[in-house]
Amino acid sequence: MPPMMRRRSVLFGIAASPAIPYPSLAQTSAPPSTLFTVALAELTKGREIKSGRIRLETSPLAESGSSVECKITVENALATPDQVQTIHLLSEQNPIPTIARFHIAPDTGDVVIETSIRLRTTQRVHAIAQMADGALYADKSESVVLLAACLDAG
Amino acid sequence: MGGLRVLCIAIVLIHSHTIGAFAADGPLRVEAQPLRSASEFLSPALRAEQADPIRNRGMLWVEQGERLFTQPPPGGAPSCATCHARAETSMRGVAARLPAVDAASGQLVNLEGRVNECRIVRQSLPPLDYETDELLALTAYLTALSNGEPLAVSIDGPASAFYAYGQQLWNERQGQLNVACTQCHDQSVGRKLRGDTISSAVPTGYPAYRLEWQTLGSLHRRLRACQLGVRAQLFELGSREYLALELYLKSRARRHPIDAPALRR
Amino acid sequence: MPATAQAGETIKIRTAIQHPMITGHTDAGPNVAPRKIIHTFAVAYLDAEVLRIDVAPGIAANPFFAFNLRARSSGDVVFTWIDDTGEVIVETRQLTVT
Ligand code: HEC
Ligand code: HEC
Repeated sequence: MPPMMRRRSVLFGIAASPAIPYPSLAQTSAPPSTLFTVALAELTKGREIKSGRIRLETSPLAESGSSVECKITVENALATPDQVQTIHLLSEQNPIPTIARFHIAPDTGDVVIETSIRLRTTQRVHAIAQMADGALYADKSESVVLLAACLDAG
Repeated sequence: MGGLRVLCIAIVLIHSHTIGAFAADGPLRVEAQPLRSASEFLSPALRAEQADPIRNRGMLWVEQGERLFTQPPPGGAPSCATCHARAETSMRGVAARLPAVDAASGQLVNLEGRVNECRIVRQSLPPLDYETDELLALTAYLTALSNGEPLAVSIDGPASAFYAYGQQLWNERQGQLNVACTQCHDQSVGRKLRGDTISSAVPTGYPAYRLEWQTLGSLHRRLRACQLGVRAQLFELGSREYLALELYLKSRARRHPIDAPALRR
Repeated sequence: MPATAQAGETIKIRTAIQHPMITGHTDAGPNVAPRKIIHTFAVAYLDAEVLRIDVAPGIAANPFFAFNLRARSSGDVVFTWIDDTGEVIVETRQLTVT
């Protein structure tokens, strides 16, 4: 192994993909932070954001902000000029708005990505898909956070 | 690991109406009732995560522990497996019997202590500190090998004094809030505190992955969190106080099957 | 993984890795501990990158990612995680396509 390569515990699983339910949204969040507004503007560069094609789901009620379930689904036909290229995951209230950027190879087919994210507080999260033809599609999801990320009582 | 510890700021919130309910002095009642594990109070989402070997992040330490057990440590010392062969058979049930009194020293020794004893005596290596990934990994691996085994600690003979001390600590009011373990974990089971539901403090899931810690943690770390919650004088991880409490908790929950690593909020 | 799939079938891959993902900031003020996170996670299949994730501190400790992969032919799936200290973790799993 090269010197910088070390061994960490890694877990893998594999299964057939299940179907996805769609969440309902409550609106209890504070207005988005300036950081978020700026990050969104940099990303869209004045382009119109459409809804559809992308779906974002986060736990409606998160027991701890240090780990909140998150699922992104994008309809993505093969061999078309408007395939998804990049998905931006943005938080309205975190100190750093960008949570992750997902770069998707061409001809991937429908995209389903799941991860766990940190949320400082109750807020909306946005997933914005940029297509190969430049079009933008977005969806948002709200999580009520019962215990904020980054508290440690021991 | 040091970096991880300072990532988060200590904030302790106990709702004032809860303190009020505990403040009245008076004799402590201890009611006999079936013990309820914190796993019972997990949300369905967290319970599903705990049961899923890929989503249960504690399994990352179990995997690391298996590697540490079988691979020889750097420096030429024999691996754990050199002496203990296949852990699946040699270590099954060990975690359920500990802590136990060591015949030679007369001290109460838990799993962490046993592992460190072998490191010092059999491998000529320095002991591992509590809450290091290595010690958590080895104890998580060895405990998981006893999953399903009922707790079966001995409180007879030389262990009886340690048990009595643990029981005393359990019933003693402590901290600025002047609350005893028993007031929460015997008398307030099912009640909400800081968004948690108070369980019977069944210690079968430790080491456990706690979302608030964002890592795996030992039972002693959990006990320290409870002491912090009542703003009490903290004991050292691995201290005789925590060891005595560990023995008391494991005896109190005897026959409850080990189910580790658990997932906690 | 290891796994077997039929050509054209979509499989779901789930990965988790042990890493504290130290954010380098807290709500209370400036840095207590310097940032140390996995900043990149990449997946290659049949020698071509199929997914790359730029990871920020907003991803939870011990990062979990699940994603779909369309099975085409037998070959390696290579997973790479890179963290702020330059540590690189590479894991390879064989996918058998029938
Ligand atoms: C050179 C041989 C040797 C090595 C290496 C060794 N051990 Fe041991 N271990 C022993 C012996 C002998 C005992 C029984 C000691 C006793 O009962 O006092 C023991 C006891 C134990 C016990 C308690 C078992 C029980 O039934 O209570 C545990 C747990 C344990 N070892 C874990 C480990 C781990 C983990 C490692 C590696 C970090 C390790 N050992 C390395 C020889 C070894
Ligand atoms: C003010 C109430 C309170 C007091 C006093 C208290 N705890 Fe706790 N304890 C909690 C809460 C809340 C939790 C987290 C929810 C749960 O699992 O019960 C907890 C968790 C635990 C757990 C982990 C249970 C699990 O499965 O994750 C143990 C063990 C425990 N406490 C032991 C003790 C001991 C021993 C003492 C006395 C030193 C003590 N506690 C004092 C409130 C308290």
